[in-house]
Amino acid sequence: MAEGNNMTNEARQTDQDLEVVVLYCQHGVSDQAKGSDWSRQTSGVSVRAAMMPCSSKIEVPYILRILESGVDAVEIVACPEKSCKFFVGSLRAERRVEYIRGLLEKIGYTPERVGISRGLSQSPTKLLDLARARADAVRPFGKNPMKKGE
Amino acid sequence: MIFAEWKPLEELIDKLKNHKKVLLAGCATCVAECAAGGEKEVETLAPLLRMALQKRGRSIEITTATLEKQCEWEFVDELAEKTGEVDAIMSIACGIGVQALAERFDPIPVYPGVNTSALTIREEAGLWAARCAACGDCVLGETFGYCPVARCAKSLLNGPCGGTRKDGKCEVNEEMDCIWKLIVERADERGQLESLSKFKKTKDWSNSGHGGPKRVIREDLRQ
Repeated sequence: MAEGNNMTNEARQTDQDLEVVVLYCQHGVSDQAKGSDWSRQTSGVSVRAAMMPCSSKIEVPYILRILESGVDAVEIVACPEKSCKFFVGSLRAERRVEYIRGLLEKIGYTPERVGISRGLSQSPTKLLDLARARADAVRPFGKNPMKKGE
Repeated sequence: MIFAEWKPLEELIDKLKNHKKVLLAGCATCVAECAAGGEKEVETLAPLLRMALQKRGRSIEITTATLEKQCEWEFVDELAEKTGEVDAIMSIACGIGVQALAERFDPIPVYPGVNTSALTIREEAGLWAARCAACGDCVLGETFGYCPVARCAKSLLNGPCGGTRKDGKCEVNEEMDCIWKLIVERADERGQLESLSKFKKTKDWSNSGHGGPKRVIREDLRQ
């Protein structure tokens, strides 16, 4: 049963703050995004960010552990496929995201809790927009059931 | 390698739903090679099961361990310190590992987390194919290195069936070569096509599962 099937729950939780982790490839962002910690609380979303040497560094257990800790959604930010410094890195990341989404679906979790987007020279503002978009994708389904106290 | 795949997650969740503290045990050998039961899969399955059970209103503690081999007692014994407080074990090793844990840690229930299904080779990343059926009477010397027992859909020993496709693929699986086509081609390449026409004695199946459970004694190795 998908998380969002409970409409009462949805309505109650829609306007709450959601916690999103953004994992981004260092080659797909601007110098400004590389040089500062742009994690922050914005309207309706609390964002935590971590830079990676390549989006392919995401591993399935790592993402699941993040979700298990109660984070509402994870956004992977990769380079466009043809711009990947390691040729197949962003493709591997994309396949792993698909695999994780399949696993989440099988245990009754909203697959949209994990997503991937692509881009180059992305600014902190753009990355925050991506985090908000990921939060908006899961907002109808409410908070992560693993969140402590929920 | 021994090939295994995860059982359906719903089946695993159902097995664990009434337990409070579970040890999830992997094996770093064959099932790690086929990405079903190694350390990475243990650390993937553990959070998944915790999340699934939490969502179903069941609080469970899952500890993890991955042994070098679950089919050797010396390695199995390493788990003893972790089994003290658990009320169940789930093993994602092959059936040999599951039984080893069940024997060593009786009366703790041990559940299989995978289905063990074949002896395979990794043909390429993410693709495994059967190569051996452990039939107990190897014919590879007569079939030019291709096993018709494991690789023919009908395990035919005397040549192809009538269903081989025009492109040489198996009628059962269009992505799979007819193994007898490959055998004949290799025999022909080596100028030994005639050898396939020779009379062969009946295959002895008694040395496989057909002869009852296997039990081997080597006196020279016994203590």
